[in-house]
This record gives sequence, structure tokens and C-alpha cells, in this order.
Amino acid sequence: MMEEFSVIGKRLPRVDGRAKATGEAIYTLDIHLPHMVHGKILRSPHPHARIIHIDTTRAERLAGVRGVVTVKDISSEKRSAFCYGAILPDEYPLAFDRVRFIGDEVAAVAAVDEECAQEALELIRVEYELLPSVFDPEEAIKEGAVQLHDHAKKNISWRLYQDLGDVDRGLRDADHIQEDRFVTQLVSHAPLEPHAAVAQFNSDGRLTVWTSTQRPFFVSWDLAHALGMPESKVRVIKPHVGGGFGGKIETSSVEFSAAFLSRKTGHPVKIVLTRDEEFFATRRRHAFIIHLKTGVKRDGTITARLCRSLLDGGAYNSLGIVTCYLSSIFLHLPYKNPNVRYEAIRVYTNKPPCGAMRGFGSPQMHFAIEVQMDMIAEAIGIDPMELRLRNRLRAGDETSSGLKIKSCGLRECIQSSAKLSGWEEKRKRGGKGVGIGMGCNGFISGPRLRRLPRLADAYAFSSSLIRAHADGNVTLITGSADIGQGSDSVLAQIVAEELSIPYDCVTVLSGDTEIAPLDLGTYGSRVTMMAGNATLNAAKDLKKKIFNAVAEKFEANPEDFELKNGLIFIEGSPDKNLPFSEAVVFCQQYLGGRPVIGEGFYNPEEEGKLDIQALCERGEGNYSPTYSFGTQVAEVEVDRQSGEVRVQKMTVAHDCGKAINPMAVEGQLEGSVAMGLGYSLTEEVKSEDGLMMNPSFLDYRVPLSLDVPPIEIIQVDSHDPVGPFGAKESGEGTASPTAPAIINAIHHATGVWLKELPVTPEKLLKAMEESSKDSGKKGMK
Amino acid sequence: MNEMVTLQINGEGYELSIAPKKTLLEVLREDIGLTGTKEVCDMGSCGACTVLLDGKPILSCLTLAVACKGKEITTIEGLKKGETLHPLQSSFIQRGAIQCGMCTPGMILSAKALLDEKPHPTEIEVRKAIAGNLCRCTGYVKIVEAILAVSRGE
Amino acid sequence: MRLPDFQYIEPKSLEEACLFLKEHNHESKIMAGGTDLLPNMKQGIFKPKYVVNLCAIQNLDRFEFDEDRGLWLGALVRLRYLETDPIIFERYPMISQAAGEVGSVQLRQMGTIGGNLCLDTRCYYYNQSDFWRKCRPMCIKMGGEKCNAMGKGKKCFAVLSGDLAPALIALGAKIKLLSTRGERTLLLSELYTGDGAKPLAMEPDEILVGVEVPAIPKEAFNVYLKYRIRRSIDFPLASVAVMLIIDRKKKICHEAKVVIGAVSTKPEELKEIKELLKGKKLEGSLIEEASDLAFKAAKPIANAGSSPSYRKRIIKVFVEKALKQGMGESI
Repeated sequence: MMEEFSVIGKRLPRVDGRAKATGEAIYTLDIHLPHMVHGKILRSPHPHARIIHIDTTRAERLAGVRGVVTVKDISSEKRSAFCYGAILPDEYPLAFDRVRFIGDEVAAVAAVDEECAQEALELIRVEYELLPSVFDPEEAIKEGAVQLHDHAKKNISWRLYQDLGDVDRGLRDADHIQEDRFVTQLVSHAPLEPHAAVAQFNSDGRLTVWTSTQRPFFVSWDLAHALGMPESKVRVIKPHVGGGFGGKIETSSVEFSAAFLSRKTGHPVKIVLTRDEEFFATRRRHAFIIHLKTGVKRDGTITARLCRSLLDGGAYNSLGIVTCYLSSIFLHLPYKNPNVRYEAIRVYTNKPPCGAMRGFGSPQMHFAIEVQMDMIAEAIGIDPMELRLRNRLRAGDETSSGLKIKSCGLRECIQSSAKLSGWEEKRKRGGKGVGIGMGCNGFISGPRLRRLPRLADAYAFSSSLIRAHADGNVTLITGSADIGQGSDSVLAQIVAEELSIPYDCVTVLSGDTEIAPLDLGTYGSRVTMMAGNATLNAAKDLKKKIFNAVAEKFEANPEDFELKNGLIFIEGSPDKNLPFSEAVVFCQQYLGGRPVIGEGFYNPEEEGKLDIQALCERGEGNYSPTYSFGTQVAEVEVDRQSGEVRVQKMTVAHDCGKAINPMAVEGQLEGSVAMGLGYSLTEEVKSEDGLMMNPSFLDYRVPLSLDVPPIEIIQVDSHDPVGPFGAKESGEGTASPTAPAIINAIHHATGVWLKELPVTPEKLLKAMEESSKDSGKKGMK
Repeated sequence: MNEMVTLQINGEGYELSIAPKKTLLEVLREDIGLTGTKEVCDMGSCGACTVLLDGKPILSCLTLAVACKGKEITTIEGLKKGETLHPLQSSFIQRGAIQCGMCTPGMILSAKALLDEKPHPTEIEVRKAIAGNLCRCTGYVKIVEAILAVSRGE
Repeated sequence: MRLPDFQYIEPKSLEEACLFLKEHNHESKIMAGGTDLLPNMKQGIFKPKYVVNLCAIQNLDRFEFDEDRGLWLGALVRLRYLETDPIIFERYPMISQAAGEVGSVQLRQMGTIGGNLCLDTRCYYYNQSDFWRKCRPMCIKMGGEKCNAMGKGKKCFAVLSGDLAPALIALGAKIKLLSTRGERTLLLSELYTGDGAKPLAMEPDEILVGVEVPAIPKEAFNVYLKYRIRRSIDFPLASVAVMLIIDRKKKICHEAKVVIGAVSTKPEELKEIKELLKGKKLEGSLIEEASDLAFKAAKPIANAGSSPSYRKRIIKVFVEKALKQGMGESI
């Protein structure tokens, strides 16, 4: 029986919609404090050099300059704490003795205005000893290549090796073996709001930082460690954030520099990156070279997979080790693979570090997996949709690597998107420049992992507080971070549903580490699952407290009460009731004046802790509480003269469990498609000797309104047993099937396979010409 | 050397002493405190800083404030009348056309300029009118829907 | 990014502007819409002492059409006007097309025809921030010795990327330049020097005051095709403007003007195609031959967002497409 909801599943407007539509919403970029000064960061113009000496005296003497910081301002014992990066820290927010990419941070200046700060940067003399550089990961890994880090032989930043089942036997059992090399490009998050922070040191030794971040608590911890302060004295506030897409997961040199400059100068310091800095000096999505070998039976059943990925990591680890193990997880989604051997090697190169970006290893792996699925289907002569259906994971499955599939709507996704797009009919046509193609994916709903360095074990994943007011309104206090995706609204819906109060009675206070209980923030598609469950539990706790109080009044059992339509009553007799607001007042009296607060937390380790070593080194373990699935169908038209591709339509089916807000889910899916479209066709970080050639919105081509095709959305509800009200991930992994769907459609339209992203008209034209030459030769035989 | 300039912004006059090198965007955000107009690329390639100059959409990051004297400037803050939102603002909110919100003010103003000139545009006309406003979040679908809904009087 | 300091000059008349420029020619930059000048100034490419904004000069945005004499477009006519004016749309569709392809609505609202014709040349190694440019040797266009795009050589190959120039050259437009020395009229094609470092044959004290476009027969065919990666904002990576006077029934080509743009330092009229097509019947093999000539004539280098070989190729495809359209073939 379907549950009846009054708020969940409704197309409600976002809680911050009005503020954003009127221009009232304040972003870090908009903050201006009394006595505030402006900071700028000096960056290395060299891809690889040793710093011999930094002379800041002339800059310090410039009128208007309030302070300059370099790594020397950090006492040597603190320097190790200052070093950041997940799992294996290897990077300093301001260069220690070496710079490893163009844009690497060397010093920071605070001055009365931006112009003065800029002028001061030019007065800092840095003496460099230039070192040879390496930019290509395949070169960097060779014996004798330039070494970026002393600890990393052959520039290997991380190696993961997974060997599950019996791959050799699986390959022997195969009737067809498909082997290909796929290449993906570096891309940029390109959020509209660049990295920005305002830091204010008070004379009482407290630091407040407003920053455009996805993880306020991590910023607080990282700054506290670097500055040698207790964590509770570093307050991080996340105002409205203008997009993150994974690029604002880590604490950056922007926050560090602003904090250090504020401590040194006594002024609040604001740093906002310019657009070109945002492009050439912040994180990127890893470029992968993927060798994928898959064995299948005649009926399409996958018997073995052998895969090797080479990740272009850039100069530092960033979150790249996570990308390595996540790539191994995505090799197991969304199909059954009993026998898998996988090696992922991440390599240092003299380019900006690659970290997390929407999909986090999935766009690359699913591009390779899904394009190869179509190649296999063609080779063995079955419909690519059928091949996917045959190999799909099902609810109740456990992958050979240990992922436990608790709900799975992949079959419905495949079938419904095929039906809506007219797959069967259109698939028969093909060729002549018109084609239809499919791509699928599976994704995580938050990592069941929290033991990052420096974090005490006592920390929870997510926790929430709900304070009930005497007028019947409630305030949700959460440490989760809405970065534009709408999580505040989703959490408000969860509260409203559980407490049976109107949606607009919920105020959300989020992203302030001073006020909110701990939450790890926004990454890995964890917010709906983890902050959602924590919030649901807080609402339940609040309800329980109120029921306990009311039970006394009614002389009944607390368990017998129900809360519906804003009224509290004993089950079965709704006429004798108490409105929620009165119940809150009553509860407060009952508690002797104590605040009426519900507390909740969520800890997915209840089903067993994840072995971090097995995960990082072998990609094993059940990484996420649950997994989402999706399918996209692309329809394309190819101009065979120019090689230009027009995507005519995208049909998207996504199993996100119960959609808490279908309109918000649609928004996530549509946005994913646009980003996936850019990844497929137009977006690429181009660099020459480590220097980004297109660091602007003009030359780094994010799709515009005329580039994005109509998008049809189907939401599949597999009703997840773990997610709040049955909800799962939506909006991150969903960016992954777009590229393979488009590439497969291009194949259907032209007969050529493209294994390198992005597919520019040029590459397509070349492939078409080569293919017609080949068929010409064949014809002559 | 600063110049004395009177700017008409959202129906209010502002007498300001400003450096000629200051863009309208900088003056709006820094001198007047109207931060609803967003600074994103600052190079004319994203549309986030769009405002209306005598009713026409322009990029405030590439407009010198001193060159705006005698012109009526409309920013996002000038759209609502008292507590009542402009229909485009309501439509954007109700139809999920807003995510991170950084493109929203410019997007709404581009849409307003279109509808003021052409109250019943086609979908492609809407897409053309906002083709200079970059959005990284929404994929534009709900933005286009929100604008068309207003044109239909919904 | 902040603009560098400058003094702002807003002359009220052309005379005043000319007199000022006579005094301060090398220290001044003329501004019309500002959409090309200001980004360059923000990137530190220009640091003029004076910015001379023409906006207050009366009648500089005058638009006139006469069946016999053709069009007069004052330098400050907005691109948005050219895009939307019904007369231009009907009589010179390629001007509407070219104007409509520029930037975005906002940029077309701000940008002017004069500004678009006087667009500075562009290059991957030039249109970058100060910091970026300092990571490379100073290029010829910035006053240095070396072309970073070619890696050698003494010539600057920055690309003239205006959309209007090829279209107006194909239409045989002339421009009027004014200074204290008087007025002179040039064929628009003569405005472009072919030197990427100094692309315009204008003296620093000269003002482009307007464009004359001759009348063309009603049956003349004209089209502008622009290759770009996205459908908005992007500059052209290659463009083709074609003007044909053609007998549609017999498919005899009386006159053919083919101009290619955005593949070199100036838009180029391909006279060899003109010769080839004159008086001939336009048909498949001839079109093929013409487009091959265009392919050979286009010599882009690696300084924009697409490879030289592809941009060359696109020129060929576009010339073929345009001629076929001119022939009345639906494609």
C-alpha cells in the first residue's frame, strides 16, 4: 500500500526562492564588513620550480598594504598540520619550498582595495630555480621522468588493485571479448560563484569565516589545526553558495590565506578569486585513460572484466585517492560482474590538482563501460537495451566487491525511457546522420565512511536539531550545506511531513558550525540520505517528546497518539484533539520550561564499519547505505559535412527512490544533462605546457540555453528501505549517462565509435572519414 | 579624478562621486549596496550582471557608470512592488527555475526585457533572449518554462 | 577584474572629438559600445590615458535607407537594431544574420556597428590576464619579439573575429573616417591591414563615423554563415559571407562575392572565386571547385578554440553550403 503524504512528493518551491528571486540572498561575494580589507594571492608562473627566496619587503612598504603572508608565517611545528589533502596530505595552502603547477599559491597580500593588493603582488620578489616539468600522465609514470614529490616513485600518487573472482577463467568462458581504450578530458566545475571567503579575527581570539563551501565543518577543522586553535573557536558560516559541483569540498588556499591575513593584520579580510583564477588554479575533474576488456557469453552475460585506469592527478593528491576507489566502485555499477580485475593508478603531473567533481569517477568509468556495452551489443548482435537488461543488478544483489543493492529500479528506468523515446522504432532507422543511443549508471547515496585523518571517532555523520516554537512554527538547525541543489528545502519537507505541519512553518538554519550540531556536509550525494535521516529522526524525537507530554494530559499512552493535519489525537478518535502549537506550549510547561527540541542523528555504520584499508587499496566493501540507478536516451543529428552534432532530445529516467520533491529532482536531472552535454561535446580544459589556454567563460564552453535540448524526465520510485521516506541520491551520478548516451547515438547515426571525450566536430569528421576509407578498402577486396 | 554623477536606479536618484573607471556593476554593488546584481565573470561572457538600461538588457560589468547619467537603471531589487513580486519572480520560484541563484537576477531581467518587448514569445525566442545568461545548475528547462508561463498569463 | 585608471572624455560633437583626438591621439582609446575595449582594458592589454566615449554625439546612430543609394549606417547604430530592423532583414538579410550572430542579446544591445568593424584582433595568447601573459614571452602584439602561437616568426597572426566585416565587405560597403584633416572614404576591405598587431588602417586620431552599403538588386542572394561551438556568445572560428547576383531560372551567376572571415588577420574576399563563377552556370562541380579554392585560401593558425585544419575545412563546407543555397537548393 502506498503511504499518503501531505508534503513529501509535492512540487513545492524552495525555501530560499524568494530571497534569490529578489536579489536579497547574500553570498560570500556580497559580504562587506566594517574595516574590511581585500586579499589577493600570488601564484607561481612556473609549472615546476624550487623557491629559493621570497622577498616581501617592497610589497609591505607599499601604501595601502596591510599585510603579506607566506609559509614562513606558520611556525614550523604547525606546518604538518597545515598540509592538506585526503588520506595522504601532500599540499600546503601556500607553497613550502616548491611550486608544482602554474597557479600554485606562494603568498597572499591584504590591502585597502583590490587594485592595491594587485600592485603589491607585483612587488613581491620570488627567486625560483626552475625545474623540468611533466604534463602527460603516460610520460610521468615512465622510469626516469621528472619527480614531483620525493615520496612518490614514478610519480604514482596512488595505486589501487582489485582482483575478484577468477578473471582468467571468466575470459576463457567468454564467447566474445571486447577490448578498448577510452580517454576522458580534464574539465572544470565552473560554478557561477568563484571561491570566496571573508575571515575575521576578533581580539578575543575567535575566528569567523564566511565562505563559499560545501563542507563548513571541515573548513573549521582544517583552519583550527593550521592556526593552532580549538575547533570550537573557528566559526564557519556558509552563506548562500553559488554552486559547487564538488569543487568546494576541500578547504582551499582562499580560506587559509584570508584567515592568516586577518590574524596578521587585525582586519577582516576578503578574498574572491577572479574567473580566470577559478579556472586555472582550482580543482578539476580527473582525466582518465581507461583500458577496458570485457568478456561476454553469446547471450550477452558478462563473464569477466579487466580494467586499468590511469588518472591524471595534477600536482597534488587533493581528493584523488577517493577518485581512485570510487572508480573501482563504479566499475561494479550498474551491472553484475562476478570476475573483476582492476588497477587504478593516479599520477602526479605539473598541472592543477584534480579532485572531486560531480560524479567523482563515475562520468569517466560510465563513459567507458556504457560505450563498450553498445560495442558488445553490436558485436554479438543484440539490442543494446536488451544487453543492459540482461546484466543489470537487482534489489537483493551483492556485487563481487561488496556493494549491497537494497533497491533497484534500473529495469523500469531502461524500459520506461526506451518506451517514452520511441526506442524500438527509432533504433531500426539509424544511419543517415540520425541516431538514438542509451547510457545507464548506478551511483552512491553518500559514503559510509568518516574516518578521515584528524577526525575523532566520536563524530557523527549527520545530526539535526528541531526547535518547536509556541506559535506552532519550528526551526530546523542543521550543519548540512545547501549549495544551490535545494537540500534546505528537502529537509524542510521532511520536517513538515513528519510533524504534519505546513511546509512554510519550517525555518531552516543551515551551514553554521557555531550553531548547528555536526554534519559532514555536501559531497558524495549524502545530504538527502544522511542529513535527511538525521532530520527525520529529530522530528520523530520531537514528536515523541510532545506525545509524552500530551499523554500525561490525556491520561493515555504516548504510543497511542497520532499527529495529522496539524492536530494531535488518540488513534481512532480524531475529534478529541490538540493543535500542534498548543501541544508545544503544553509540552514546554510539562518540561518545566525547558526548550522543546528534537534531536536526531544518522550513523550508517550501524550495519558494520567499512574497512578503510580494503576500500582504498582494493575498492572493497559496501561503500554506501544504498544505490541509485538511471538511464538516459539521447537522440542526435549529425551534420556529415561539418561533423557538428545536435542533440535533439534527451529522455532521462532516474530511480531516486521516493522523490521528496519531484520538481527539485527534475531540476537536478535537467542540470545534470546540461553538464553531461558539455562533458560530451564542448567542455575541455585545454593546456599547453601546464598553462590553461581557455580560462574564461568565453573559451571554456559551458552549454547555453540554445545548446541544451528538450529533456523529458521519468522518475522511477524503487522505494528504498534505508532512505528517508524511501529517498535516494539524485543529481550527481545523473550527470554520467549523458555522455555515453550521446556517443552511442552518434554511433547509431554514423557508424563510427568515438572513444575520446569531448566529441568535437573535428574528431567526429576525422572518424567518419577514416571509417569511409576503411569501408572503401573493404569494398575493393 | 572622480566625477559627480546622478544615477536613476529603480526610480530613485543617487548623487555619487565616482571614478570614471568604475563599472556600473561596481557602483551598484559597492557604492550603493545593491548586491542583487551578481559579479561572476566580469568580462561580458556570462550575463549574471545584466541590468536594464532604459528598459533594455545590458551587461553592467562592461558599462561605465559615468556613461549612465540620465538613464533609467533597473536592477533585480527594483522589480517587486512593495511586497508583491513581479510575475517573473513568482514564476521562477513556483516552477523550480532557481537553484544556486547566481544567474537568477540577470536571467529574470533578460526575461523581463523580452516580455516587455514581446509579450507572447515562442520557446525559441525565449531561449534566444536568455542565451547570454549562463546557468550551470538548471539546464535552462525550468527557466524557459517559467518565462513562457508568465507570457501565457499563468 | 578592475579597469585601470583613465580620464573619461565625452565629446558632444564630432568636431570636439576630432580636436581632442588630434591632441591626444596615442594616449586615447575611442569607445562606442565598450564590449571589446573594456574587457581588453580589464586584462591590462590597453592602459589608455583617455577613454573617448562617442555616446553623446548626436546623429552618430543615424540609419537611412534609399532604394537607389542603399544604406547609411552611423557608427553607433546598435547591432541589436541591425538584427531586428525589418528593412535590413528584407533587403540585406546577411547583415541581420551577421549582427544577430554576435555575442548575446545584451552584447548586441550594447555593441555598435562601428565597434564591431573596429574590433581588435584576437588570439589565445593575447586575450588573457596579465598574470597569464607573463607566463609566456611577450608577444608581438603586446610589443614583444615573438609570436607564441607560431612559436617563431616576426608576424602577428591574431584573428579579426568581427561578424559584420565579412558580410559588409561582400556587400561592397564603404566606410567614412573623420579627423581634423578631413573626411576620407575607404572601401571597408581597405580598413584591414592584414597585420594582426595593427589590424586597422586608421590613424589614431581618426573616427569611423559610418558605413555606406550600396543598393543591391532585389533578387540578389546574400547569406552569412558562422562557425562557432556554442549557439550563443562565441566569436566565430570561421565565417563565410556570400553575395550572389544570379539568374535563378538559368542558374547563371552574374556576380559572386565570397568573403571568408575569422581565419586570419583580416577578412578576405576570394577574388579567384569571383572570376571562376562569373557568367557561369552554378552547378555541382563548379561549386565544388569554388569551395576548393576557398579551402586553399583559408590559412588559419593554431590560435583559437578549434584546429587550423578543421577551420579550413569548415570554410570549404560553408562556401559550398552558401553557394548551394544561392542556387536555390534546399539543404
